[in-house]
Amino acid sequence: MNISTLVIKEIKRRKLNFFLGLLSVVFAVTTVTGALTMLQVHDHKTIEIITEKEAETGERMALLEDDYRKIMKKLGFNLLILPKDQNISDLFANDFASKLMPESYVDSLAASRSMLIRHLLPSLQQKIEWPEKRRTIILIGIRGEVPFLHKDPKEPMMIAVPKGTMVIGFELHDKLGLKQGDEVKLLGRKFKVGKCNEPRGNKDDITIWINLQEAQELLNKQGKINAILALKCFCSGGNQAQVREEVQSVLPGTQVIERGGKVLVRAEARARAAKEAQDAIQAEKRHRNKLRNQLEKFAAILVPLVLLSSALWITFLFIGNVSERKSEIGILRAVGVKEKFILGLFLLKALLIGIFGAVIGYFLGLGIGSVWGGLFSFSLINLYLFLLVLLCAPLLSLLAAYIPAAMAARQDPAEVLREE
Amino acid sequence: MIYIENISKKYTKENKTIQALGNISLTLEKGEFLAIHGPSGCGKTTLLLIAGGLLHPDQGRILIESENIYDLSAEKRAVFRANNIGFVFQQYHLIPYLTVLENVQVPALTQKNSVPENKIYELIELLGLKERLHHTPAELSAGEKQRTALARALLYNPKILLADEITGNLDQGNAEIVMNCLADYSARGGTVLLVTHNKNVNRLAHRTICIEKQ
Repeated sequence: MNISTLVIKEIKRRKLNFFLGLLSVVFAVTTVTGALTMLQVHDHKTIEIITEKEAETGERMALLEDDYRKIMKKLGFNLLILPKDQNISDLFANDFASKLMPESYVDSLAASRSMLIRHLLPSLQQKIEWPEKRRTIILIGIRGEVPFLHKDPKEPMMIAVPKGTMVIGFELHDKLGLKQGDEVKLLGRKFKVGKCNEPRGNKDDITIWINLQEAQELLNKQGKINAILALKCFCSGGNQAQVREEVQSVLPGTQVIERGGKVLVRAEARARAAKEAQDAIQAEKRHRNKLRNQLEKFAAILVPLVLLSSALWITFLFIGNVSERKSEIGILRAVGVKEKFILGLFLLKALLIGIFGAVIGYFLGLGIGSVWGGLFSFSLINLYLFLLVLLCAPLLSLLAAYIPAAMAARQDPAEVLREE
Repeated sequence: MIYIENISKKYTKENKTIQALGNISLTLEKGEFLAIHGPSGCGKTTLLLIAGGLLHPDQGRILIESENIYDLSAEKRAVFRANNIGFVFQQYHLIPYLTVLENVQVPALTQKNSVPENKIYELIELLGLKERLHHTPAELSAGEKQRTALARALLYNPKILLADEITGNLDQGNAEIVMNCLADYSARGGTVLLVTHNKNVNRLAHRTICIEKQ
C-alpha cells in the first residue's frame, strides 16, 4: 500500500471527477496547441505560397528574358557613325559631335551592299545661341532616310524636314509661345513652325530640326555632316564588331559607337519586371502577415481565458473532491498520516490529470489545428512544444489544485471525526 | 501508561461557548480496559480525541508513557500516533474505494516496516472477514465494516486502542465479536479506552467511569 495505490484507486472510484478534470486540461492544452498549430500551418503555407510565387516569378522572368532577347534580336541595334577624330567624351559632354565629315559618306554607305544596316540618317548638329530669341538651342539639320540603293525602296523611317520649315522642341515652343504655322527667324532666315513636339524630357526639348542643307548654310558647313545614325542593324550573335568592320571598310575615316545599347534596354525592362514581381511577393507577404497578426491576436485573447477557466474549473473540482473525502482524510490523519501525505494525495492526482491532459490535448490540438489549417504533415509535430506542454499543463493543474489540497492537508481531523 | 490530568475543553460555535470537558483526570495502566459512560454531549468523544493526540485541550496534559503528547510538534505527534495508538469509531471511517484487505493495510502508509502477510490474514480471519477480503465497504454489513475498522486499528498492535461507540450500529452478535476482540487485545497487554452508551460492555471492562454533562 502506497500513495499511488490510493490515488489510482480513488481515480477508479470517482471516474467522473477525474474525467472532468482531465477534460478541463485537455481543453486548455488543445486550445493552446491548436492555436499554435494553426499559426505554424499558416507559416508553412506562407512559405509555400511565397516559394511558389517566387518560382512562378522566376519562370516568368526567364520567359520574359527570352521574349526580350527575341524582340531585341528582331529590333536590331542602333549605331552612331562619327568622324574618326571625334572625341567621344566631348560627344557625351556636349550632346552633339563637334567634328565634321563629308555628307558624301552617307551616300557611299548607301551605295555599299551592306546587309547589316537597315536605315541611314545623316545629320548635322550644333549647339548654338538663337540670337533672335536669346536662347541656347541644339540645331539639327536632317535630310531624312537615305535609301540603300541595292534594297527595295520602302517607306522611309524618317522623312526630311521640308525646306523653310522647322520642327521645334517642347521647351522652346512652350516658353516662347510658338505654335504650328507661326513664322520665326533663326540666324536671320525665316522659318515656318511645321511641328511642335510633345515634351520628351531630354535634350530634344531644346532642339530645332531643320532641313540639312539649310542647316549647312546657316552654320556655314556646306556638304558637311557630323553623324550618321544607322538604325536597326543586324548581326549574327549580337556581334557589333561585324557591323563596325563593314562600316569602316566603306568609310575608313569614321568610328562607330552603339547608341542606346539593347543590353541596357533589356536590363531595364528586366529590372522593371523583377520589381513588379517583387512588389507582388511583398504584397502577398504583407497580406499573410496581416492574417497571422489577426490569428495571433485572437489566440492571445482566447488562450489566457481558456487557461484561467481551466484552472478555476480544476480548483472547483478539487474543492468538491476534498469535501467528499473529509472522512477519509480524517481517518488517515488519525492513523498517523502526515499533512504532507494528504497534500501529496491530491497533488499526485492533479499531476496525473495534467500529464494525461497534456498528451491527449497536444495531439488533439495538433489534429484540430491541422484540419483547420488544411495541412497534414509530420513536420507540425513540435517536440519543443510537446515538452513545454508536458511541463506546463501539469504545472497548471498542480497550481489549480494546490489550494484545495492544502485545505485538505490542514483540515482538522478531530472536527471531522467528532462531527461524524 | 496513560495519565490524563485536569483536561478541559470548550467549543465555540455561533458565538456560543460550550464546555465539553471540565477538569477531567484519570489514569490507565498497561493492559487496562476502561469503559467510559455518559449521556450524549458529555464530552466522551472529545476526551477520546484528546487522549489520541487529535484534539488539543484548552488546559491540562496527557502523558503517554511519560511523554506529554501535546509538547510534540504536529508531525511528531502524527508519528507517535501511528506507532502507539489505534482508533475505532462508530462510523467506521473506512476508505470507500479500498477493499477490506486494503483498508486493513492503511496504517502501513505511516510505517517503514510492513506487517507480514500471514499476520494480516490471521487478523482478518480472527475477525471473521476471510470471505470478504476483496469486498469494498459498500458491499459489507455494519458488523463487517466495524470488524474491518477494528482490524485496521489492531494491525500494528498499538499500545493503546481508543474506541468510540463501536457497538452503536451493531447487532448483538457483532457487538459480542467486537467486544470480545477488545477484551482479548487487553488481555494481551493492550490498553483500551472505550466510550459507549452500552452498559452491557461493563462485564468485559476492568473499570467503568461515568462522565456527567457539564
